[in-house]
Amino acid sequence: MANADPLDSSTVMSRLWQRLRMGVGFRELNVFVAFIALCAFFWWRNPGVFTKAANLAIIMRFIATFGILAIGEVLVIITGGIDLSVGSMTALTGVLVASLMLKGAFGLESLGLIPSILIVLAFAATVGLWHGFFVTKVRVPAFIITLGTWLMAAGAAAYITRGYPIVFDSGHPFLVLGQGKFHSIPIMFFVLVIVAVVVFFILSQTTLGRHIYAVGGNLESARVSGVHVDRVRLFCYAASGVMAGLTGILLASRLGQGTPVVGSAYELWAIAATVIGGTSLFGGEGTVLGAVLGAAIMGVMQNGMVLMNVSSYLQTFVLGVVLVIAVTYDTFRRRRGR
Amino acid sequence: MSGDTPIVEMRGITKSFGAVQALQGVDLSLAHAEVLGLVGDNAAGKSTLMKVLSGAYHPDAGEILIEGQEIHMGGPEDARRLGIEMVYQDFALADNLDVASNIFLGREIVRLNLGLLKVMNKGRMEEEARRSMDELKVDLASVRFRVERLSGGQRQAVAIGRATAFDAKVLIMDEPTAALSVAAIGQVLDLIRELSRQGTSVIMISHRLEDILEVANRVIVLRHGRKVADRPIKGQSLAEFRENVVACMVGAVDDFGPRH
Repeated sequence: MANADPLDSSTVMSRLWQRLRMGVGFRELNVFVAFIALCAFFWWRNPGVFTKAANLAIIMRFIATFGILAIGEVLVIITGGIDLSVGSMTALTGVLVASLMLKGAFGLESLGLIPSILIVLAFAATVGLWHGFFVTKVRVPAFIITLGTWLMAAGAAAYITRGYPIVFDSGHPFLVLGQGKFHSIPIMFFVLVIVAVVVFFILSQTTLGRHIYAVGGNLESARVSGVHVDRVRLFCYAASGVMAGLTGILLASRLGQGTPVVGSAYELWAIAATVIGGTSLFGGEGTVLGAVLGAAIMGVMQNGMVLMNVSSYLQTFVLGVVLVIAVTYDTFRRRRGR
Repeated sequence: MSGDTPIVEMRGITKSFGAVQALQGVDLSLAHAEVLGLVGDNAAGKSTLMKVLSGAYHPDAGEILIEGQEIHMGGPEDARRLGIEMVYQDFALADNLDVASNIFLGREIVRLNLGLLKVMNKGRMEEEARRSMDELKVDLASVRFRVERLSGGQRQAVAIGRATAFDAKVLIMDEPTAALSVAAIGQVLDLIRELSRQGTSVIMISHRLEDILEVANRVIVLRHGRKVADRPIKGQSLAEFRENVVACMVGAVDDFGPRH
């Protein structure tokens, strides 16, 4: 190539600048800086408490819960869709996993730990495929079909349990998933890290990932380029279903019970996390790192405000303000970027 | 080369959209290295016919032969595998992806195939995209630029690069010169001549009859979903050519119509 010496520092700088200008990692960088600033602020206001291992574990569990949901959500949102079912799905899958393990279901004896988890994840994937089928073949808006599941899953969870939680005995091996720690880091957080690495790899390195972005950027172009646009979207909805199932399992383990009352409005928190992390609800834009950082910002803020004795009503209000600021900033930045 | 067998032969292609009969039994044949102009009024069926050939539409009836072999296309990827490439009028690019990603969209170079997951070789795709852009003499600082940042001419170059980077046997271009400056039109026409010289067959849809007269060997005129003329182009002045073609386009002349 006719390029200058690739090690020339000005070339390196201009390339770096080019990458930043192109938006590769730029938005995540902003969000990351905001995250660090928030951590510093809350550390300063709550010296000694904020960085305690127990407190960090609380934050990490929050980030794991909404981070996993947000990763599923970001896949769907990149393709130009949305998944509103994930909140109720965490409740239903939590109830299902407890029910399978403790009571048995479908006329079966109670099942073991691993089979129960696998069945619930398969069920969650099937629900996701159901959404994908309606979006791609029946051409129902994603908003509507997942809203339907949001209602059905909430109803089913309440019906199965008749409103009562299905409680695990303390010491049940299942509880390790949500309550256990390894070197003072919650097991849940490791699950998030594994999920994030796998999905990051898929989105950034594989043809499937590139096709997910292409579908969100221009569905018709992707189609005439030979991308199997329906399969790609089916995958994303199924993945989002699996993430909701995984979160439901982790929460059931964390709470020591399958209960129909968890997960309320979690879909909106997950969507908020993706948006704070720079995902565009119009599709075509979004990253795993952004989604996790969005969840992390919400987790740190929520925790920091608790430590500062901010009223819980005000906490929700402040998170709303953060969401609006993030979206407004992003919109302006994008307009200038053109 | 397979002698006189046309590279493409479409027979009796019919296609309806609801009550609208877009194509009513159209025949088209294309020889090796031939440049064919396809003209007709708006809604005459040109783009529809080409989308059938490029696999984007399934015809209701009719058959398609490639080098004498009847083929059935399940989608655009089948057409591309057969060496049929189309440059769409709107370029069909994904604005949120970079140049290299667009050029290789749907046929990424794979480094490692894990079944469902195929790991891309991004470096090689960028190199080859760079080469393709250089061959087309496009002034483009980086193939990592997102397409949304490019000018109209650069976007078209990416669309053409995507079609020509893979040794196309048949290149379909839908209004390639409609939105271009005079200099850029000259470049596109030069490119078509060059591709033809290398053995690629080109079908060019255009309203600009002067462009067709300049590069095409033959012209087909469609009207209301039917072929009304299929004539070689030789030694005509632009005025004569325009008069002949327009007569067919408006229905004053119909080489294939029912005898009166």
